[in-house]
Amino acid sequence: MGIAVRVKKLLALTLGIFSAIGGFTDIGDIVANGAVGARYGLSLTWALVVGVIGICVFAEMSGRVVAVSGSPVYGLIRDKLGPGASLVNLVASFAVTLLALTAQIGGVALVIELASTIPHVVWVVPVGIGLWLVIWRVKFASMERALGLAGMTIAVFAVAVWWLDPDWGDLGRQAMSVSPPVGEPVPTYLFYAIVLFAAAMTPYEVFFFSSGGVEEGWKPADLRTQRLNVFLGFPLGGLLSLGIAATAAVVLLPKGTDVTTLDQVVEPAALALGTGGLVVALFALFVATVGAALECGLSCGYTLAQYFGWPWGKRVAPVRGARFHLTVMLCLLIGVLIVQTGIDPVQVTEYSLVFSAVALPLTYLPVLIAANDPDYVGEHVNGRLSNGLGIAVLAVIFLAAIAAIPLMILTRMGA
Amino acid sequence: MSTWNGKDTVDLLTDVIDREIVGPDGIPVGRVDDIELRRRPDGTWEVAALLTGTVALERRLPGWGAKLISFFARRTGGPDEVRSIPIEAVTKADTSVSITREAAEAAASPAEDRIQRKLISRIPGAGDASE
Repeated sequence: MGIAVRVKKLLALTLGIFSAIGGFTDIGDIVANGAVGARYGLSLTWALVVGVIGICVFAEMSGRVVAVSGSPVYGLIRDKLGPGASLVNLVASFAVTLLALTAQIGGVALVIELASTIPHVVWVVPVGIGLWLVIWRVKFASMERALGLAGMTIAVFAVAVWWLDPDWGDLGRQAMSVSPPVGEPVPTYLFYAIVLFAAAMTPYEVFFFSSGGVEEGWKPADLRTQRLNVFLGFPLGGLLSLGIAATAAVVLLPKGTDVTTLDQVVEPAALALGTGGLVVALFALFVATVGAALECGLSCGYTLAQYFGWPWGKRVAPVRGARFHLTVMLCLLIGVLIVQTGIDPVQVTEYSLVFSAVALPLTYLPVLIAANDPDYVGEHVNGRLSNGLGIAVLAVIFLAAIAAIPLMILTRMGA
Repeated sequence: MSTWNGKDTVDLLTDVIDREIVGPDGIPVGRVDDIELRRRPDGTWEVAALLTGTVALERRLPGWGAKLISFFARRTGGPDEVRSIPIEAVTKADTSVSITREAAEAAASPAEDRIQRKLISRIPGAGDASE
């Protein structure tokens, strides 16, 4: 192999890992980590860790299914479940993805409000149009790379923690604990554990990741690269979003602040690093929400198109994927209209996380089944490790799905 | 075609129905929403054609699902007639069913065509693949 080829390969690998790191965080992770950090410090780190393990295990499986069979997750859900059960699955998954899209659009508008001091409702329509233009015009790979690289700026929160030089021993003890701080009720603690877990495992990530694999034409030869992206990128991305929880734990927890707005989330970065820190933090939040909004919007189109067998994706010109593009447009429009009512995007985010927790088994069970089916993955069927981890995570997923709504009602949305 | 994805016996329900149908360029044409059987002179049944289209799908759905899909089909100028793909047009079958170019063109979705003509192709840049 020539040096030029090697450099090129290394570059592609690095870009892939960066994209996975930068693409990990969305409005759900931002809100969940901010709220949890301010209330519980780092004592829910375990929930994030379980979520990151879960998304790694299942993203790897769905990536393998795509690389070997060329079939994305939603393609096989109908094969595996038949038309009726998969339609129930489709309606639920589509609804939570649309809700997540709404939350991201609201998030983008809120970030612009923080930067401009002009109310977020003014920005909703321009944001919607901008997102649509990117989906209509920009190449898939360029979109992924640019947003992934820019998304690395979310590291500003980790830098802020380091700059604040907190009591590291205390933070470490919090991160190791698996019980609520003294005086905090257990149900609320568990409710936030589910929210944090769901934020790491949002279903659209799997739809997007596996459809992206088709768009980028993954082959079995790409499996190693793909695994590296997942097993390095997602944990590092999770670590950086833990930075948000850590800054909140250091700055907001001692003051007893209850995080209900985005400016509270960026406040610690501004406190630690001044105006520069604030600007970078706002930029990072902007990129994270824009990236996730694009992923959610495309995922709405992917799920529907794959259920019905429509041509889809950015590899075909919009004229050849008319129904796919119409779906994406309508979903963006619905998201814009919901946010335009003036509803609080942070609350939309919290609801979207709870409902996506409920819908998690619908996405992940078929992935586990397909990754064990030689028709799809040939010789690359799950080994004992993948199945062991997959089943363990799936058990947690089912628990979270069953407990999410009762806990939401019992704790009045974690109040 | 003597075998289907290398198998001597094929379970129509798990190996054929609901699979994606793709043209020679790999672009989806639809899904196998139903199949058409015909009786051979010796009395056994054989698969004559693959059927695709929302109307064929609705027959296999619970009532609410059929209503939901036909609601959206009507809103987009349908429902359209079921397209039938003769079994002879199948060139390859694995996790998706590949068919010939002629069959893919014949089975193209009228709804896709309507939405493309009336809306999507009128927006600048619609003809550019973004890859």
